[in-house]
Amino acid sequence: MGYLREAPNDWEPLRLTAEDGKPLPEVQLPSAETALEIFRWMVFGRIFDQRMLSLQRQGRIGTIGSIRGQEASAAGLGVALRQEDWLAGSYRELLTYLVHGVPAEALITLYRGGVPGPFPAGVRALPVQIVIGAQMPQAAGLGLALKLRQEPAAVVACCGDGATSEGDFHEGVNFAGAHGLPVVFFVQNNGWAISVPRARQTASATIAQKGFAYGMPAALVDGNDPLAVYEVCREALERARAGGGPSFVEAVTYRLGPHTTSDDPTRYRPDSEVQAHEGRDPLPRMRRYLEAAGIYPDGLQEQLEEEARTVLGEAVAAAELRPPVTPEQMFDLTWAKETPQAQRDRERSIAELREVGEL
Amino acid sequence: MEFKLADIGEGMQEAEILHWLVQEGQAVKEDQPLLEVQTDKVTAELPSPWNGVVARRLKAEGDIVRVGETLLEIEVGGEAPAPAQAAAASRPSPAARPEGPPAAARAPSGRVLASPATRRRAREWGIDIQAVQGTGPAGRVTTGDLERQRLGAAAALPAQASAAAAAPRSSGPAPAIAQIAERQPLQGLRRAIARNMAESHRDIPTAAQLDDCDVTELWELRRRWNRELAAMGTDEHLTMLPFLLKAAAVAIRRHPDVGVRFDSERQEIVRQKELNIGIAVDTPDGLIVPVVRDVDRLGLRALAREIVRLSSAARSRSLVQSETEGGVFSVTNHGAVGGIYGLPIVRRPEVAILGLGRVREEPVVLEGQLAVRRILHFSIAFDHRVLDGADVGRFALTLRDLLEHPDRLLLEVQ
Repeated sequence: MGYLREAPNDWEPLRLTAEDGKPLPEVQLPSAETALEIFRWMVFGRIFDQRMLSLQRQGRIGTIGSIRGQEASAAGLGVALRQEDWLAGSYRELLTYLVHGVPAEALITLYRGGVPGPFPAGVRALPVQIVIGAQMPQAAGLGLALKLRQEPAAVVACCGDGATSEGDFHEGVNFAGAHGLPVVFFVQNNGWAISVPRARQTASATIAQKGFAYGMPAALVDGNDPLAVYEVCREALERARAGGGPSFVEAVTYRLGPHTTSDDPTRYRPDSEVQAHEGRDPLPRMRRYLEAAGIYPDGLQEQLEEEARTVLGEAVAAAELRPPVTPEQMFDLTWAKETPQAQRDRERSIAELREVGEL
Repeated sequence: MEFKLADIGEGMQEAEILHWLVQEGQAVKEDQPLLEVQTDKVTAELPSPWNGVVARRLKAEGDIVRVGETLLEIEVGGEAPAPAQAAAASRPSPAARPEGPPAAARAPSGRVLASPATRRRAREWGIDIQAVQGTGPAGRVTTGDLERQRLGAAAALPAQASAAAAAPRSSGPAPAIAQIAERQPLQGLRRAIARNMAESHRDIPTAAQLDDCDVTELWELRRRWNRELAAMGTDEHLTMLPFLLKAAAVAIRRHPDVGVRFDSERQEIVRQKELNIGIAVDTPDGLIVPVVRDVDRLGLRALAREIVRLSSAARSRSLVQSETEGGVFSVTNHGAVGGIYGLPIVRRPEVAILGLGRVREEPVVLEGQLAVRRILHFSIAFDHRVLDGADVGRFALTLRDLLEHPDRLLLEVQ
């Protein structure tokens, strides 16, 4: 008896700064320029989220997930990416998409049910994945391609805590581990998978430890400390680019808003829990850091908010000028070169739509 | 500009106005909340798309508004009128509240925590979930809490319920006559049934014949056969249904026009070689009609076994599609839950359906004497585009003859 061993369960998330914004002793911090860049994107993400929610309530875009409270994770990761890296994410990583170079107009068009077209040339990002976890094996495939082509670039595969219960998650992570692919798996653990709390999602003490099971190093990081997220991601991405193989990051954060605009979290989540996390909002925490470090110009946040509103106002106007999507476009964007079967599907669908007067 | 209610859920139809957050004549900025609405799923503030002045509020608090209806008019780019004008412009609205910040009137977020399943159970049991003391994590109300509440308050509940029902609505100009407790979308099988029934009912000019017949002899025959089966040591058991299906099949062979399919689009009657009959099965999810193939070719015991197999497959939702298709006639048994008279709906593209009532003992006149006999009431609903009353009358006469004289029925069984 006594042969069975427990996994260690005393793993604390890595932090570089405290809640009050002060750096922890003996830590290496990113440059002031990087810190300001991350802050700028966090502010942009906050305004973007408000604006998208507002557009949805006005009936100008469809259902959208809130990213409020997760700006530190999304921006810390986004700024650590280089142009040659690939991003495979979901609707909760919209801010990372923006940081990586996808224009706001493209995302707004997407949520208007339109076709944003391919992302601009040079922006290496898969389409925003809505199917939970489906991006994970796709990211592993991208990693295999980079390895075969011997490109010094990395893939980041993002998902949430809920997606770690999907088969796709395990298949993707395992494949990358087994083949030593240049993929960084980045899980934003925001506490809730719609209405399922993290404690009900898995019996593992951490999600990060799942990386070990697939033979890769892992980090557990405070997802509301954008500097810690940045540093961890930078190390993981550099390792991947240099041929060191995959790694796994769990960023512990909190979804302050609803799952989507169709969700009412007051039905399943205690107000007291949300209030406690409002007090740990990453945005004021980052601002406190910049102020304490003496690199925060007066009125910076207000100025960034105003800039974000202007950029988004123009993006909304441009997106609303785009022609409405047509049924044919569904086929246009499926195949690079249409197969005979797809060709028949297209013709039949369009004939049927004509018949019922929808076209 | 008119600000209309958008579909802010996923396929929502309507919403209730909880609170206005702006007054008529008030200047509003883009993205400033105008009002708060409650949908099936969420409570949401609707923000203004424009800078301007609220010209008119078109709905009152408590109103149920459909998607696409105009909520208010905003004069875009306008400026708030001077106070005197504002008072004049502001139409007397019964819903207008006295002074005070809108936030103070906002819905309290003191909703109790509970899963959707528990909330539904509470509604079914007539329990106000807000009043239940939750014992789950963070005070979550569990089904166990509801059960305790129900058992503990069983006697007191009716009084509470009627008091709650009598209490007037606290907000809104005119108390609504009825408050929506729940809106449940039709889903899955229920949705399919709804569509099929509505189409049949809409498209088919239905007429019906109601009749009865004396099945005393058949009943006795069946009992003798069941004793035989028991003596043989099988677990087979004959209900009335195989006999009735057999009789219907024989009657259809004699009156083939009753067992056809009608292609209404082409206005063609389609005769089918196989004599397949649908049997309506009551399942927890709703009505399912598997089809018994080649009823005319099966022996009574084989028919009985097939009925048992299809019914249980229907109840476990394990029928394959081909087992629910290809019928030329259907039988439904409203007697299974005790009904005597019933009027079924014809299943397109079939043209007739037989409804069976419960067999019961009734006093009847037999050869000039009162006698107690086992009587089956049945109804035949039919598509009057394809069949006339006389066709169905002749069919019913044959059916009745076969059921009243089982020897004639057995003569026809292959």
